[in-house]
Amino acid sequence: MKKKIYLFLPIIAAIFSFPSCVNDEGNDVMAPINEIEISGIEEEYNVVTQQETLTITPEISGTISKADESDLEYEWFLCNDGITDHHHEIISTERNLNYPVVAPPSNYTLYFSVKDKVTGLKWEQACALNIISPFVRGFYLFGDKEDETVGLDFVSMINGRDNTVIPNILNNDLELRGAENIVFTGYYSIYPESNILWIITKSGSYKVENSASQTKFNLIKESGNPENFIFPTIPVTRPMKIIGVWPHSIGKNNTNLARTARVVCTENEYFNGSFYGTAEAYGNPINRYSASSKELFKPSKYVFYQGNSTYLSYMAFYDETNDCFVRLNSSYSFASSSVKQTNNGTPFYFDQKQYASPRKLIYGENGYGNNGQSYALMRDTDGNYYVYMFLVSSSISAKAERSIDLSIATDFAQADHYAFYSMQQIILYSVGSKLYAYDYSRHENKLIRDFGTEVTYIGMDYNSNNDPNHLLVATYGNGKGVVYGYSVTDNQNLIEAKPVEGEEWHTDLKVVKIEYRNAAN
Amino acid sequence: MKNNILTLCAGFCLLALTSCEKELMTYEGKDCIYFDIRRGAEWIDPDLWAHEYYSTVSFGSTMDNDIPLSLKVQASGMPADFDREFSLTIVADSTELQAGDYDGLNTSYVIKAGETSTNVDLIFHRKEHMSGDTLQLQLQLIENEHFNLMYTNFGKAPEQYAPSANPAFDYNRDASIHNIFVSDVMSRPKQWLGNDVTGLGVFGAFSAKKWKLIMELSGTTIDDFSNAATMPNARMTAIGETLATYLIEKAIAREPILEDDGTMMFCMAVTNLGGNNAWTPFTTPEEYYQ
Repeated sequence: MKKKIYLFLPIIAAIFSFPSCVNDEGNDVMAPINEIEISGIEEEYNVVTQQETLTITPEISGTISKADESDLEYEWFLCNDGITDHHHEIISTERNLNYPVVAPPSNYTLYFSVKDKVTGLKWEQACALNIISPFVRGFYLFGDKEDETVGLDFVSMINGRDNTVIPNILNNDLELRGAENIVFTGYYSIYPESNILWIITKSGSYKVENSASQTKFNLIKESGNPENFIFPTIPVTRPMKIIGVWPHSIGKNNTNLARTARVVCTENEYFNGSFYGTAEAYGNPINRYSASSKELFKPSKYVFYQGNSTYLSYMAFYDETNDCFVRLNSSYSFASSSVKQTNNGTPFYFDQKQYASPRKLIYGENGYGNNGQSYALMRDTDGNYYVYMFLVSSSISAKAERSIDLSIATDFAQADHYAFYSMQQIILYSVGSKLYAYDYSRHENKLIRDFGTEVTYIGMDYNSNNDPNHLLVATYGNGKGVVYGYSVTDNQNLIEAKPVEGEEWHTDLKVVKIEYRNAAN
Repeated sequence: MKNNILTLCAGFCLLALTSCEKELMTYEGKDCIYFDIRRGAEWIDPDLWAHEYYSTVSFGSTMDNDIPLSLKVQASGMPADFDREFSLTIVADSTELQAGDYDGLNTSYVIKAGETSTNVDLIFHRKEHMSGDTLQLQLQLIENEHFNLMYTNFGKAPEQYAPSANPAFDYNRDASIHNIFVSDVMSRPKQWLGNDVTGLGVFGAFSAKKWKLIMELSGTTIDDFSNAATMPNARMTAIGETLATYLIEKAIAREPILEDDGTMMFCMAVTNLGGNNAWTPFTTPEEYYQ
């Protein structure tokens, strides 16, 4: 028996040599811990970056005893919920959040983390934080600062909030001076690289960043150089300075009519381009009367098309060399030259040299009302003023001519700015600090308001609220500018314009142009 | 007996405490060396780029007179802890380039310790005798004490992109050999709107003569035609107008610009701008002036 035991011993030893063993040093003694409970945080917050402060005062309690605040550490952090670029940003280590929002617009998850320094345990409470851009919808105010450099403000329009002016959003690192114009073409996601926002100054035209996710906007120097996207083979004025891009966006939602076919106007040329599937580019200018001609006429800065149209094919221009209205030899996206528009003078001549006292174009505008007719203010060599109404399609149809009675229209010949009210036969004009409205059908004039300081801009604004009665007026004096919203009364027997409540925006700029934008990108 | 069994038990107990480690056998033997020429789009993982069987150097699509070319020579196996030299030779029977047509070729190269590849960097020079021709340079790696040349039928790896097909150039599968074809032939650039068969389109059928005239009239360079940013359709249309205006003027002056086949040079704007003086693609002067 003993022998057998000895024989089995090595086998047993061998079996026991395979397993390994672990000492269990645990015990069953369970100590309750003080669990933190967080409340007072809502499920969702909506705040505007650069504008608003997010304030949250959470309530904290413990399951065993009221938490001793000195034992707790706090952390508020934003999670971008990104998949490829997931990151967290701590925005506060205080118990109560008081965060002036500066993060880029996006949908975040906001976490409040409480750490018990005694146990080392952390508790978290999360909520949705939607940070909204103030630069999606509103008015660009472009003008000169008191130091004469140009500046850009933005009247931010966010549903459910008061409109506010965000000043000085342009990084004018070139110290540009002499504001002249601002152009926002509207955004088109298929061509995000298209030239969308331009400022035009005395020294040239400059492309500007426009993404609503930004908070400061830089000048884009390289791709904004017209030489990089305009390629004429005949002589043109150089350096090329862009003064306008057409057609403009239309309506509250900023339908972008210039997304794949545009006319770009420089000081002495206009170019057209159709860029379906390709980058924005232009060839030879089309302000000439033959595609083989190198002889260019001087175009006016006004471009005419149906101002109520959400789809355009045709545009008209004005030849300042020969003083006549011109149309293109094709639709505006495929034209290679221009054609003089001729007619028999009823109700007016397109060729101004037909008149004994030839006329010149002073001002032009496309209206929303009156079936999208365009307006031209003309002045003859005797100093008389006329209003032309016409409709642009494959040719130009002259609709009506009216004269301005200078004995009624106070100081009309000295006017600084004009705007056509398209719902009635009214032209608004400013002289110094005064804003007038003249009914060129009934020949009645009315002083709308003497602002006391210089009126620097007037313009009808259909776009911002699909309201053809909306008028914007900018004034400047003593280093301060004000932009007013007015509503013109649509009544053929009445000249009336009333201030719109809440539409008085203050700026440091001498505003020369107001441009509406509504683009989420 | 009892003591032996106890000793055996003790032995098993000791065995239970020990583990063993066996050194794995690594690759042994002479590594191979081969030309590993890869090309592919930037957005593709370079490891997936196609292994190319030849390289081209084209002076016909650039204004540059010197074009660099880098050929990667790859060694199989693990990096060595010492420098490994190799050499290559020019295969005279398969080479038409002359001395001076290129620089940078050394008699020997080194794959440094800790590395598995190096580059053979060459610079090719535009020479008069290349004009209108395509000339070959064939390089052959040489076997030595460090490297074999066993990849004589190199194929496409499953995950890799397929090499560019060109029956005239891609016949060599021996990765110890690499063919370089140097040409100075004006070929249709990337940006050329026109149909070679019908002769229609903005520029019409391609010809080197027409392209040279276009560049002369428009002040453009070969490089301008290499991408859509510098040669968008709108620019081609503008250039076409200038070309057509010139061609029409010459035709009216009875000095028509002719292609090498004797037909009148044509582009689309000839039709638009020529009116009664216009002609159609491939029209002969005899037909035009009759």
